[in-house]
Amino acid sequence: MNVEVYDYEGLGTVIDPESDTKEITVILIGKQTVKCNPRPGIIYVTGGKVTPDCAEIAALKKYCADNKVVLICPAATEGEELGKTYKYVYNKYKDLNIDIAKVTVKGDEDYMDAAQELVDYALDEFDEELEDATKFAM
Amino acid sequence: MWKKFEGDRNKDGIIVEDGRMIDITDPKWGHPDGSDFWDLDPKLNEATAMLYSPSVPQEEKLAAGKARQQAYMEQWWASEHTCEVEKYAVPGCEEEPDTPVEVWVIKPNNLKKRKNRALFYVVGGGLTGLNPNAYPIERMCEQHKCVGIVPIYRLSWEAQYPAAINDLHAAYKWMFDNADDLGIHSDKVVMSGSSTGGHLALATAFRLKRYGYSPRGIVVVSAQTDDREKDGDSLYTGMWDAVEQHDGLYNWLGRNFASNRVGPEALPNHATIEDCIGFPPTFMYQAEMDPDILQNVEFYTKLLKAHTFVEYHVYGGAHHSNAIWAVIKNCGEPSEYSQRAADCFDSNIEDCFKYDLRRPWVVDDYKEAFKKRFGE
Repeated sequence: MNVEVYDYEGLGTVIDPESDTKEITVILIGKQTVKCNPRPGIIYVTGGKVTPDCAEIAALKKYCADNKVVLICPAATEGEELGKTYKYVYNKYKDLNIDIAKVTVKGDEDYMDAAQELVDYALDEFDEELEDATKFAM
Repeated sequence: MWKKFEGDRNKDGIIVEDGRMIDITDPKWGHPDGSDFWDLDPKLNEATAMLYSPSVPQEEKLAAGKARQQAYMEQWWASEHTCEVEKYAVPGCEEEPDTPVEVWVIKPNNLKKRKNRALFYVVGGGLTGLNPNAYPIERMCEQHKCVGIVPIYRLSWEAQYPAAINDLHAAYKWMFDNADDLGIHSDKVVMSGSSTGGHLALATAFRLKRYGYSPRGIVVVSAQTDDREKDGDSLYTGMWDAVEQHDGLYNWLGRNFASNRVGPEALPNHATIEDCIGFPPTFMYQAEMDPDILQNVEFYTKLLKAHTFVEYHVYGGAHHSNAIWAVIKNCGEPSEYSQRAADCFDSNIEDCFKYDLRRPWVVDDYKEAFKKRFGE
């Protein structure tokens, strides 16, 4: 499966496995292929350890492909800046083909507090239910 | 002439000539699933009608109005509540700072610890009664997981326009200024109300716009939008008909009734399209036989032209207090038909909380276009 790795608005790195697609009928035009089956998203707070060139990128790509999940890895380390990543996901979840109700926040050992801070920020500022941050090791 | 006006064509000085109004209390006019309440006994409405009747002395209105309000409040406080209800006396708004306002804060038990949604709920009642028992405020707060803010505004027999708008403005300002203490997010406020509650929610939104507040949305039912009758409406009788609306608003506006000199803070359709630019996202639910239905449609078109996010739902074969609203404002027995309307209404409230449908760029675009055309 093709897995893309790209920068998002200078905020960090997205690891995005290929979406399923389906054909839909568009009135007057004909058929069009669109993405379907939106995937869960994980905002993975590591303080910027995940980059396109990091040592773990191959393993992370495999994890995303195997689990059909999108990883969004912010470079930021504190609340407000991390909030920009949640805002990005919230505003772009359709383009990203993510199920916004299935977004979770995870952190590595060093950034669990920051990950939880992001959960608190998102609960305050956005209108989505979010579970507490959990640990996720590369 | 139908029973209501039989032998009394000059009811309180209002002339209703033969053939000028249609008796929609005849069920043949109604949607078959929502014909409840079509045969309402006009006698039941007399205690309300005297509160805005121009032929009843002011002292009598005051005494009767106070007694009725006291009964409503005693019923409310004696009832069992599913939510926590707190009562506050809050300072008056900038335009009437010395007049405090009573505000209730309704807290369901499914709230978050902080930064909750808020439902600014305006109780209806023709500006003659404010009966919180008649509206499902607690159910709505529970369903939408929000804090309810319920202002106890002054009624027309206590004080005329703009007293009620000042009170609602004061309540909103207080809520906004004390958002953290109240456990709400000041940018997640949806306004709602039925009948006069809808009218005042819309009118207050114009006041709030002038003071820089931007509620997330407004969802109203059978809101009065104008006091100026149009040829082609004001033709129906029934519960809250054209005559009642005329007298109710006349009592509130006094000499300013039907005047173009008062703006949308009195009645929303007094707005120009320009006034509507930057108005909050608005969802209106109306009945075909609401007395000012044409002005309602006109107000909707003004919002459209101002590029406000707006939805307009009008129910055919329904009048102002039809069973179609049974779930939203306790008119008649709930049915599958009324539940359908309530589900749609509730989904719009949820939309306003969930999505930011406001369009701030419309204001910027307008200013830019104005500058281009007329210069600085």
